[in-house]
Amino acid sequence: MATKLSTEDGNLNSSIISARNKKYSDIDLTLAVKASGEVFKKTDAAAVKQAVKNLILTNYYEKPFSPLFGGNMRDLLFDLSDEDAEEDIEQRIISAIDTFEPRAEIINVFAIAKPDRNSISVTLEFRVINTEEIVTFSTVLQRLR
Amino acid sequence: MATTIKSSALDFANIKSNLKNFLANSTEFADYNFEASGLNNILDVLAYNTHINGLTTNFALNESFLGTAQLRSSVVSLATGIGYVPDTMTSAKGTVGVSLNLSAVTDRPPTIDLPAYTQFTSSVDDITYTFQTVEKFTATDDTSGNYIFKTADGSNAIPIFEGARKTKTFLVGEFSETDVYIIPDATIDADTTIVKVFESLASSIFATYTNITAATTISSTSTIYILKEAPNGLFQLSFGGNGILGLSPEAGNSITVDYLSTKGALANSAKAFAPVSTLPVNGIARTLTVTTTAAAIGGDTKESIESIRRNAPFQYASQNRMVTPEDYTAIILRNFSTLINDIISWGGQDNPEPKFGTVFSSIDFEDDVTEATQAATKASIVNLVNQLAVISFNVEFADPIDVNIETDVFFQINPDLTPLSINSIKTNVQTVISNYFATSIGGFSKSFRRSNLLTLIDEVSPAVLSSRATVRMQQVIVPTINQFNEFILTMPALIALPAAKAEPSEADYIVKSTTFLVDGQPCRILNEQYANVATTKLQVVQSGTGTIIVDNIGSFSTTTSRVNIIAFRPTGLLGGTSNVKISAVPANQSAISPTLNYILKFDAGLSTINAVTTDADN
Repeated sequence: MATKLSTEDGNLNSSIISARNKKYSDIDLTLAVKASGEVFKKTDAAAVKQAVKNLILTNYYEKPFSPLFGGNMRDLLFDLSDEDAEEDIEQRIISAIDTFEPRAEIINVFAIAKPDRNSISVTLEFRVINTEEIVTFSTVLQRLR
Repeated sequence: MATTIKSSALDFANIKSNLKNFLANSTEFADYNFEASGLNNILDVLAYNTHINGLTTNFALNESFLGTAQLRSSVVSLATGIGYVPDTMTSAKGTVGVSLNLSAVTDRPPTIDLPAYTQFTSSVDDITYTFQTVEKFTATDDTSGNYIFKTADGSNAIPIFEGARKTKTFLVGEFSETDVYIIPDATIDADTTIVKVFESLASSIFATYTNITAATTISSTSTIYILKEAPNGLFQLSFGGNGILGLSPEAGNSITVDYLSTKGALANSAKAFAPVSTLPVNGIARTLTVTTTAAAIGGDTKESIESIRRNAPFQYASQNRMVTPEDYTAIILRNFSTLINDIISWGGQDNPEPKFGTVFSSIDFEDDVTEATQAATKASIVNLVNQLAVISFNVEFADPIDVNIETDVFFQINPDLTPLSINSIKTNVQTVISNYFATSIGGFSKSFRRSNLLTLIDEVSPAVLSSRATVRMQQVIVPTINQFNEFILTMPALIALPAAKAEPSEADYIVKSTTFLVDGQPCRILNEQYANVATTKLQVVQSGTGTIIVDNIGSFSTTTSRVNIIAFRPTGLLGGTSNVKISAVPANQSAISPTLNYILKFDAGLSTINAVTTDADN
């Protein structure tokens, strides 16, 4: 299952109407380096989006001393690719975000199995808490080899 | 159990929390600390790395000290570093009388040899074990054809050891400073090991080497070897090297190591021995006659980690010389640990009757060690002392003095607070008392503490609301019937002062005995106690009637703890016993701390447990 993290999405702060003064910030997990030698930083929606993606693509027992952290998608690797699997994925994503990412409020989750391509397309629409910004995150779950 | 460094300070969550707090003070990473954030993942890596490094360091440090090491290899290595060689497995040793009757033979030889490694078999729990001699013994014709094999010191008791004889041969290569020879056998009994160095593989000329633990002096020409446990549990043989600790085998030499591979404690108590084969005399096979002198004892497993941890520092402190009483204890234990349950030594100046220039040792032998073996062991200890002790110091043995503790336990119980019957609770209390005495006393310098016992009784059930106990010290005398006997008993604690009471009860007697017969009447020894009078004088008093049969049969001292009984003439004993038990109430019933050669034990037969019901519920 590929885990591909985006490079810096840019600072979306300027287009957001928000009552909060404190912005979300995070390190860019690609660890891409600026010309100055510093690592890129993600803020606000981009930070939350990275965190959500990181959460969903983490499997149980990966995080030290927090065995039930993550979406645990790899657990479905050899399951049948049917409607039940789609629903299972959606529930896992909702549960993981509800539990571990309080900055995101889920609006929609779609998991669409594509048996002919041996993959499942996942689209997640969520609102960043305390802002009106709605972020859409899509990824494709497929085996690596 | 060893105390280990607590690893709670290395807790992953604490480490991560500290890192989080550090970053939280930076405005650059405000609001990052949700579980899914990227920085949180990086913190996981950092905290995990710190945690693992901390634990690894913790383990490594623990393994670096004798007091905290957990792995046997670490404990053995650390003990070896201070000159302590842990015990290997030990063969069970029996002694037999071996003889041969050739009275019907005319051309008898004057002497017959019983070769080393002559085998005998014996069974324990239906499993057969092989015993063998480890040296040659000789028998001489008594002119009538009876040959009795004897040891070098003329004893008929031939020692035989359980185990299978094995020989390992090493060929010495080019010299290197790290020459060690691994003996691939974890069941070796080092005491039976014989190391010989031959000039070559084919040569019959050899030098016998001595274990370094038995060496009293070492020079550049000493022939000594070092046998110690390797980290993998096998044994490694090495030599002095460089001429500093004696000679080393040279290239081309061959080394043979003969030893017994033993089953350890499994063969203990084997007592019927049969020879495996006949003995050829002038080419004719003769059947040996074997009688058991002493059953097999002393077989043991490898020295445990906890034993090494306890003994190594004392052994190091004694430095293989006998100067302080602790040296005597450590070295005697090192050499005879398989026979000894407990030991204590003290200087003659500390003896109740001071004897300067003497060290006293009191040895509590294991139960299965016979009187003969005890005597032989004491003789061996004297020989050891002659080699290692300071000149003009002697060792004397003081037998352990058993002092029995009698307790009368009273506890208050509210039956409404438990579904169990009072008798069940009493049984549980009895079990707790027995367990306490079994684990807390029974050795030298092991004290009885009443508060500890009562705490355990209180914990038996929530229905037990309170408890108390009266305590007595008791020693046993064995009088000769119809003769005047004299006994001097010294108790391990001061005896209470008798208190005069208007109406004294049974509990008010300070010294009393079990019942015996005088002229057919059941009597006891009691201290003088009647209305408003209580003294330390001892009397023989008829049970039931209270008639004084003998007015003065001795006395006891509240300052010296002694009970003197003189002109004691019982005409019979009761209940098939051969002894009379004399008990005394200690001045301080809270604790009895025995010194010197006193060992506290528990007399359950003369102890009582009394339950008192109550309505109180708290």
